[in-house]
Amino acid sequence: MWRWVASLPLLLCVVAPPAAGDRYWVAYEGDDFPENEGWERLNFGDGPANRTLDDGVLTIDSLWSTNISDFYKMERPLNPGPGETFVMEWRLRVNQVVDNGPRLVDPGVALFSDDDWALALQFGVSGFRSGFEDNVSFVFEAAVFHDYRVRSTDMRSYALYVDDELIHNGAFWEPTTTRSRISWGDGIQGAASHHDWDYFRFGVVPEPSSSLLVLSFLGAMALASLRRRM
Amino acid sequence: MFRSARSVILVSVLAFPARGGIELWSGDPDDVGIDNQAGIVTIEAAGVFKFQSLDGEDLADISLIEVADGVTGTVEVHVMRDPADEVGTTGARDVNEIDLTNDQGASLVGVLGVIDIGGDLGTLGGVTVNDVTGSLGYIWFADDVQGEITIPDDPGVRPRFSGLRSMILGDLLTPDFSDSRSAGPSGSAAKTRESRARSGILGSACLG
Repeated sequence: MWRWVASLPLLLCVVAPPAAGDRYWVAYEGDDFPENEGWERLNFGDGPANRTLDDGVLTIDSLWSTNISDFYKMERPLNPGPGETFVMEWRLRVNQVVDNGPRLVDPGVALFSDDDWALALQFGVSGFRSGFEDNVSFVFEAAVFHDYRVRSTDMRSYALYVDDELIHNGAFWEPTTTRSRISWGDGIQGAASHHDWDYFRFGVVPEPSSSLLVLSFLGAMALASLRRRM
Repeated sequence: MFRSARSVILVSVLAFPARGGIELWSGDPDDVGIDNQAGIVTIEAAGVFKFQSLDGEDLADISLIEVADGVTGTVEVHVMRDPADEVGTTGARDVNEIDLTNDQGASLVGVLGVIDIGGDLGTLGGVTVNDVTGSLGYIWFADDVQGEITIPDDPGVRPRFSGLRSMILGDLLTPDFSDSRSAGPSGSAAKTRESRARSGILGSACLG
């Protein structure tokens, strides 16, 4: 027993995840307008759009003009450290999109990492597309809420879940732009929409595999110790 | 689920000042989608389009100028601060990529302030790169583009091509890099867009 206890510091050094970076978690839950919760509101063209808050849902309505983009941006370091995972999740319903072009997308989410790798998703009533990846688009049930989650450990590749189902393993794209940031909202001038955001959250969390590894290892050591005592 | 009921709050339309972004100087706004979050310009019909990109008073980046699937005809693109400035004063700090691969017409005319792609209907006659003040990362052409690329050697307009990392020319025939000092095949483009990774690279310009 004492040998096990004495070896604990060494074990922790071996199995503990590397020193974490600045883990953080930002959560917008629709309790107030985003600019009152640390987000910067940007709008272009004929904006801003009309907005309502109702029971924790932010509704953005730009149907009166296709020449509006009205969205929320936060600039901050984003990347996960070793043993960590970047997570971005949101719940969105797109009720209507008006576009004179063929694409029929208007709301969107954009992410630029600390080292200039980017991800952009553009949403329509019944599907969405990746702005930086060729031929990456998905169709699903129209005009209902869907839960989206992006997970990445390296900000080069990502896994995209919709309604807790993994639907895409994608790649970030490298533009030349700088300034790490995240934005969401009515992103596109040239289209109009009516859509609802239930929440938008992002942050860096411990990588599940690291936590599981630590727990598994400690469990195995405890079991081995018990066997020796028996 | 633990949220208390809230009454509807209607926010009136306020006069927020525009803070730049990508703006269409001229061209039909119904034929363009501008994603200001990601810096993506999607051209949805043939025509002439002139853009600028500002972050407040300063120039800002454009991540991507692309042509939507199925567009036919001639697309002409300018990026400039003043639409009257036809010689191409830079209207963006960076244009990372121009993607003309989805234009189904064989003729593309792209004038980007920094690049002049000229040609006749049916065949692309050639590509002429003019003076550059900003930077341009990538230029992509459809596989059926034919013609030649010419980089004029005119010290009077240098520096040119600041930031240009690669031209992905598809099946471009007879590439002619007349400026040997600043052009040459590299094949080192960071092609992260999967379908493009399958396209051929017959020539590329790698310029500092």
